[in-house]
Amino acid sequence: MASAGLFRIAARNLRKNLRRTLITGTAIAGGLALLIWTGNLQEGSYSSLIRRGVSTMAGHVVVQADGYQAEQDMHLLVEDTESAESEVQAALSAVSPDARVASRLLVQGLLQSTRNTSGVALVGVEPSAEAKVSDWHEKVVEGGEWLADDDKQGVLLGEKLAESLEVELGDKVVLMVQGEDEVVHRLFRIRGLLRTGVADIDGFMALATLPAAQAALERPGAATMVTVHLDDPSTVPEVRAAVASALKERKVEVLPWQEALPEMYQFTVLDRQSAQAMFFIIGVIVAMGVLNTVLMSVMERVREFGVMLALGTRPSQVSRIILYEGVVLGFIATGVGLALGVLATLPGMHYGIDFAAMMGENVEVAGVTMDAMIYPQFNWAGTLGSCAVAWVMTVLATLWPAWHASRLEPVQAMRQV
Amino acid sequence: MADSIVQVRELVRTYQQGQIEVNALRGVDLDISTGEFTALMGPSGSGKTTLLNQIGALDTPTSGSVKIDGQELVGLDKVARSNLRLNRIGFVFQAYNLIPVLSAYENAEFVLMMRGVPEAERRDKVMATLGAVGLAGMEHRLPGELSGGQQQRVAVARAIVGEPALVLADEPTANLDSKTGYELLDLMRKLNEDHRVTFVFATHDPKVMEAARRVVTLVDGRISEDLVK
Repeated sequence: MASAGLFRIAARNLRKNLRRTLITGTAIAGGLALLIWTGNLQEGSYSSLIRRGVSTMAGHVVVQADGYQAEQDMHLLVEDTESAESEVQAALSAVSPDARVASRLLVQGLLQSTRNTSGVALVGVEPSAEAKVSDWHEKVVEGGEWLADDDKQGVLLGEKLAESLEVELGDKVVLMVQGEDEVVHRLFRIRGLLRTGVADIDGFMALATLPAAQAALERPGAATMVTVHLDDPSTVPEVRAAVASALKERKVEVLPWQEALPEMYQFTVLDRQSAQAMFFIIGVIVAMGVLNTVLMSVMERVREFGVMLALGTRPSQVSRIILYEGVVLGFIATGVGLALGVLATLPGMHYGIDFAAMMGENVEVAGVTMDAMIYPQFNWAGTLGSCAVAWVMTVLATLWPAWHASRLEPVQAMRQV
Repeated sequence: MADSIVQVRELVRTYQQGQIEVNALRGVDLDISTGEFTALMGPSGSGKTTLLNQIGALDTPTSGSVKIDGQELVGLDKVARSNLRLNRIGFVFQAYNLIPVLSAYENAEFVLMMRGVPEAERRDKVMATLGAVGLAGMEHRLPGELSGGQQQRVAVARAIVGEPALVLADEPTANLDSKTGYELLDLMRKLNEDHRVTFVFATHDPKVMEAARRVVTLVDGRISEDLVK
């Protein structure tokens, strides 16, 4: 009963000083909305980065030869890729029937034209399967063509690599690779040029069919990795476990993308942590503003609190009035901030936000090209977490003023003008 | 003394004001009985407000004893003193001191609500008390919508609605014009006569001294005269 009365006083005090309440509430709501929108934008950018990186450089789950991740030796290969793919597909039929599988062979060597020689990272792919898991086929510059599954001589060169070799569409190049016992030479004809916007890729990468790359390395039927691509990344642990179980007789390591692409994963973790640190600092700054406002409000009501204490209100009950004000203000401001943050996110989710003017058309992050067009994505755990923190910090900001009010002596307080 | 509701013995209150030690009370002995209408008078600095604060458990003495209805105040902690004020003592202050965001009704019921009295019972008592102080029909007005005299009536209603052992009034007429002051005094005298509410005033106001049936005069922290009319 007393609590109801104290709450009533708290609510009316907020309404009585409406301008101050609105200004303080706006600061909290605005700060929270900004955090939510920024967090969702960040989530969208991570999503894009991971999607790109996973699709072009690995898979959500990656099967590699045992020890490959540590040694990165191009001769450590998964043998009999075709049957490995079948075993993987069989495992996937139970846990993720819509998953897509593609094998790749990474070969490092030298590429020679009539005019020049350059180091190259040749990736052997299954063109039809690759087109379902990555967007390499969309990176072919106009005039060129994507590889056909049975093309044993075709190669796609990074645009800058072609420039350094001074070659064009239709020209021949020779790949030299250190095989098991000797240097192997293999002739390729340029079917197209690739443009990704990432200097490392455009300057050193080439794509050929998997059989052509296997022939260059003299390892028929082998691949560096068998990759699994999922529609729902949250099923990675389950899929990984199923694939690992299916391949337990082979000498392979089955990795989630976080272990297959540690640099990219670490980037997202560190970026998220630094953002959280920044959000926390913003939260503290807003809380300091709330503290100042509440403290001012308490100072203005010292006499009123003195009267309450004189009438027999306990010091803890006087504190509760101020805490209730913080609870109510925090609750309303958090609700408004959440609504604003969600509303601010929605258009971006649909239309995207174009950062090209700031970042250029493509941005390289951790070796992966990111689109300048970012689509924010709801991170509900982060959003609700931000709301909880905003509310808690608002209430915490009232603790000291509430304690101060409870320490008042009624006689001195009532003398306050 | 029969029906003694306040017993003060050898009360001393000394406090520091900057470098100076102020002896506000220098050994006061006083007994007040149920149903009294007593004025504490004296010049500024005589100790009348200090004595009132001691009786009201708003302050603690340097030495001596204060008992309200047999309950010793000295040695009580903050919470115990709060409970005593809430349940046994009513206050009327010079500057009305109503809670500005509460209506006349809500201000009057404040003490009952803090005691945990059920709403239905509160409603009956508060409405009756507001009627008794002449404020029927003004329950919903905020303090800012009431005159000085009306606000002080609300304060009186708040002070008596909980049927306290005594009501302490510190200069209750100081901020009122003469006519309103007289009206307020008449009200309190009627409450005293009809309901045996014990009133103790700290006052300069000749009207109050005239109305009081007992006048205790303090000079320099001591009782110099105790006149029962």
